Amino acid sequence: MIKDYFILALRNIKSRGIRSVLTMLGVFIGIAAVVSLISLGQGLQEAITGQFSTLSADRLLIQNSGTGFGPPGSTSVSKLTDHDFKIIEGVSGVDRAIKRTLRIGKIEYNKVARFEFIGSLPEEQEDIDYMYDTFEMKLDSGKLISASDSGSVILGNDFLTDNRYDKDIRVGTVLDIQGKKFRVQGILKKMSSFQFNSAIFMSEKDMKDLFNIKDEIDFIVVQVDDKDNLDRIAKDIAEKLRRDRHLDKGEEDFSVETPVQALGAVNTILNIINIIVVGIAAISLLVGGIGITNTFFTSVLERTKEIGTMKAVGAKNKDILIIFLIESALLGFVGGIIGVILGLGLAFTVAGIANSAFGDTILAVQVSYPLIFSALIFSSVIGIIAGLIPAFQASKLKPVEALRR
Amino acid sequence: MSVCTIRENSYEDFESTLTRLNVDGRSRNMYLRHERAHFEKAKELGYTPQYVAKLIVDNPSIIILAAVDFIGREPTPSDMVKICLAPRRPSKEDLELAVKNGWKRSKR
Repeated sequence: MIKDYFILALRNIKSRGIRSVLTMLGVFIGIAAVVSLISLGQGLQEAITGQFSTLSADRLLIQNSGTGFGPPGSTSVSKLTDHDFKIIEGVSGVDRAIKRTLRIGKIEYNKVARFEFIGSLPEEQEDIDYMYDTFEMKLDSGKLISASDSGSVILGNDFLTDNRYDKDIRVGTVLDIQGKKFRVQGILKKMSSFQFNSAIFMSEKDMKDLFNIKDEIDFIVVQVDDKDNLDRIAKDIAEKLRRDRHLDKGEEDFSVETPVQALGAVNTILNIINIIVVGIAAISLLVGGIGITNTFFTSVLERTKEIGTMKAVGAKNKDILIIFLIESALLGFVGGIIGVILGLGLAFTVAGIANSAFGDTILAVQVSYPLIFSALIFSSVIGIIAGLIPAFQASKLKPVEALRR
Repeated sequence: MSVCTIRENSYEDFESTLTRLNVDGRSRNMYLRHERAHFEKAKELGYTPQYVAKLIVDNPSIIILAAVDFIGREPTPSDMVKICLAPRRPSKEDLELAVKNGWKRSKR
């Protein structure tokens, strides 16, 4: 019996041809919007979280912050130094502190000159291992740099893949960095942080020699002994540095960041964007639902005689109601399927364009099966709700009156 | 999130590096003009200045500190005052450093 209802409903939808498609338009636009935007939104969230992957809940980042126009010689006053490093190391709860310097240097290879990021590796082998481990720096080829290595560098994965010097760079290649020769000792595997993928790493000593860095640290990564104490330790570090620099609160020329808080703020913004997007899509679905209701009201009027005939040969109110509800649910369901396909297609297209523009796989589409399943259920329910009143009206038609019209 | 420091010995190199690092044109020109005044004055007084900038490298990159530094000999207090006050509109920090080096603000 139910099978007959479905066959009849499908035949009716098919016979209305273009009108059925137009009725579904609102539903599938709404579903496509929801699916594409949420899939991209989740991908965007993953991409942003990936950029924070070098930071975790038990780490702090201390860096120098400037004041815009520094007075002459100000860089020798406001930078982070070994003295600051010792103060930070001495704060209770600091388990480990690692100095990092970062510069932009001129690289020449194959007669192509470019400016690239150069990051230092810590001085102590234990700290180097910690950095490799926590930042998940894995080798694609070659060997990682150890504390005793000099004159060699490891490269981010982009050097291997994007042919930026018009010639392959491999392990053993010699690069001219700021006028000095460095041998490529290893190339890293692709990492989630694009900053790592496009950076060059060398030992702290090589970095200091190359850039003539005397006593300057760009940022200090601090690992705390207990992540529950993170805020307290951040406050203590800020307080001690302020006291040492004779600064009042609010006058800081440094910053102590808890990256997870920053990530939390980003996630909040993304969630708000998601809510707005879903709100817009809900309006589209509402319009789609009204479209289904409208089509079915027209359909009840057009099919009055058909309904009368069905009732005359024994169809009950319940049967007519079910046939109309199945039809409207099917319209919603099929609209949902088309919407899901269109939505995913759109999301993959946008991600493809974004990735080719940035030259990286920064934005990935997250296909969520619960989302697809929910979207299909939702579109079917929209169809049923939209068809409820016309179906009820159709079921209440009296056979004699229906046949007389 | 990446902060990097650049040091350049000439205006041309400083300008070219800031351009390559995608610093917004308006803010780049503002910093270039201001720091060039310090730089030229320091050179005129016989020092070896160097352009220094700290940036958050992004798209566009943001300058968080620009200054001139001195290689070798540090300026005497009176020369430091002249270097600090070289730009047409010295910054608050320039004026503070000039005062520290003995400059007295004239009262209007």
